[in-house]
Amino acid sequence: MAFRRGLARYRLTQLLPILLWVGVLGGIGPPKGPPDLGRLMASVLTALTAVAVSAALGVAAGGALAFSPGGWRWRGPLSMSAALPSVVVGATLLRWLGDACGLSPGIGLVAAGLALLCLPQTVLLAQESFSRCQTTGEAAQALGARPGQAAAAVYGFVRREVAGILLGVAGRALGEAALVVLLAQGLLERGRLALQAGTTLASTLWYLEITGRVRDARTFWPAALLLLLSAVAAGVAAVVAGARQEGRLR
Amino acid sequence: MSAAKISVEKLSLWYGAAQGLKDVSVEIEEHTITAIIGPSGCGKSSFLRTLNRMNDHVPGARISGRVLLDGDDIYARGQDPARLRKRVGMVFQRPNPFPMTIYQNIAYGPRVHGQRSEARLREIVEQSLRRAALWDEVRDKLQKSAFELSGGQQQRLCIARALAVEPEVLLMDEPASALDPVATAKIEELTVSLKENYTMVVVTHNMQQAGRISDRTAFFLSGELIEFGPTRDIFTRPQDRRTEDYVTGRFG
Repeated sequence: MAFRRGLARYRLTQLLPILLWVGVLGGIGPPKGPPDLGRLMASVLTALTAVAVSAALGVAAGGALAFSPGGWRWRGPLSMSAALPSVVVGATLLRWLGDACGLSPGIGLVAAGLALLCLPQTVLLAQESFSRCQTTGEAAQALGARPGQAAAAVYGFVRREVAGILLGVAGRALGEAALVVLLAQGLLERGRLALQAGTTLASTLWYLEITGRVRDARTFWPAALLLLLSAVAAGVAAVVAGARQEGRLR
Repeated sequence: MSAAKISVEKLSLWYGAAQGLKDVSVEIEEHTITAIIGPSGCGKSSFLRTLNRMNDHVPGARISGRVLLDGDDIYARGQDPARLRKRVGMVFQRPNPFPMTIYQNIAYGPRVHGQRSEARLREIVEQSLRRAALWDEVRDKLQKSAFELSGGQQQRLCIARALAVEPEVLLMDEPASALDPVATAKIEELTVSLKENYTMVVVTHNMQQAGRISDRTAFFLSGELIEFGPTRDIFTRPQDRRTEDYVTGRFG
């Protein structure tokens, strides 16, 4: 039952980001005026920073909750409520960062949105992962391992789980940043629908990957592949935007 | 009648202010399978975890009473929980292999207890996997990740891992509850086959399973041991009305 509840919660948190994306992007739309490579790079960097910060916050919050006293049991609702202040703080910081980089309010808002979207899921996933680490530690202790020895067994799990989460988050960030850039550069002027579809696809892939990753370590390489594909997409977007800026592409 | 391997005397357990077990006394005989049955929250798993001091890890948990293993109080001052758990192994509800290869999963316990010889470790790995009826299925993939096994195989791997440290007692907390009927049948068959060499205590929600595999059954309700006796008697001639109501499906 706990697993089903957890899964339902993941679905809910997955739906929320998609709705927010639609709302945020629908409100902003493509910027007017000529494309700007500097702005393009700043927007990509800001988006990536946003996700890195939110992932780090999420992993830290998930870990803190999982290892808090009495944290042996599933504490999803608590982690969600704990995530909210982090979301607000993270989003505010990133908005400031966007402003400091001289980005348009829209891009800053998108960066803040990225942080907002990734964090609650990351918290939940990190908590689930750390809970699995605890279970592993308990199994090691049941074999007669002392706490230090049990930690060695758990370390492999921590490394894999955190790597899986960060891979998934980075893959999603790159993929979505590419789509945002395409829109921001006016390359998808009529493509808001395509953007939304792409975002939904990226989010769904991320969701499938991460939930699968947490449940089954066999999906580690698909995560890496997703990250690679996302990076390629981001690179293509940047090259296309650059070429367009230089007038080599209409 | 075999000798008592474990004697539990007036054992009570609290989690903070909440009492989980109330004055439980029971004797578990050597080389038998004892089933622990009862509705959810009745204290089955809590009782099981007192037998190898796994409750020591739960914040706020404390006990009164005594648990004797071969006559020695496992909660006496100076007792080492790590050494106790080598003698009293445990298999959990959900398969929980380590993020290592199949070989390393089995070798983990012996290594922790100081076994360094790779030749000896190879012997232990093969022997443990054979005892857990898994050797034929994994002999060619010992260096593969344990996560590549099916759920039922993972649980047998966990049993093999527990056997690798050569325990005297094996505690199993609903070992088949997360498995399909085929995997469950294998775990049951394995459990019965292990009785010859180990004393087993099995928590189960499945009364048919308790009837199939156990020699003696303990029925818990609200932290109290209501009835304990030969499994056949518990299921056919229970002495307590509450036991009868439970085993006949009137509640729970």
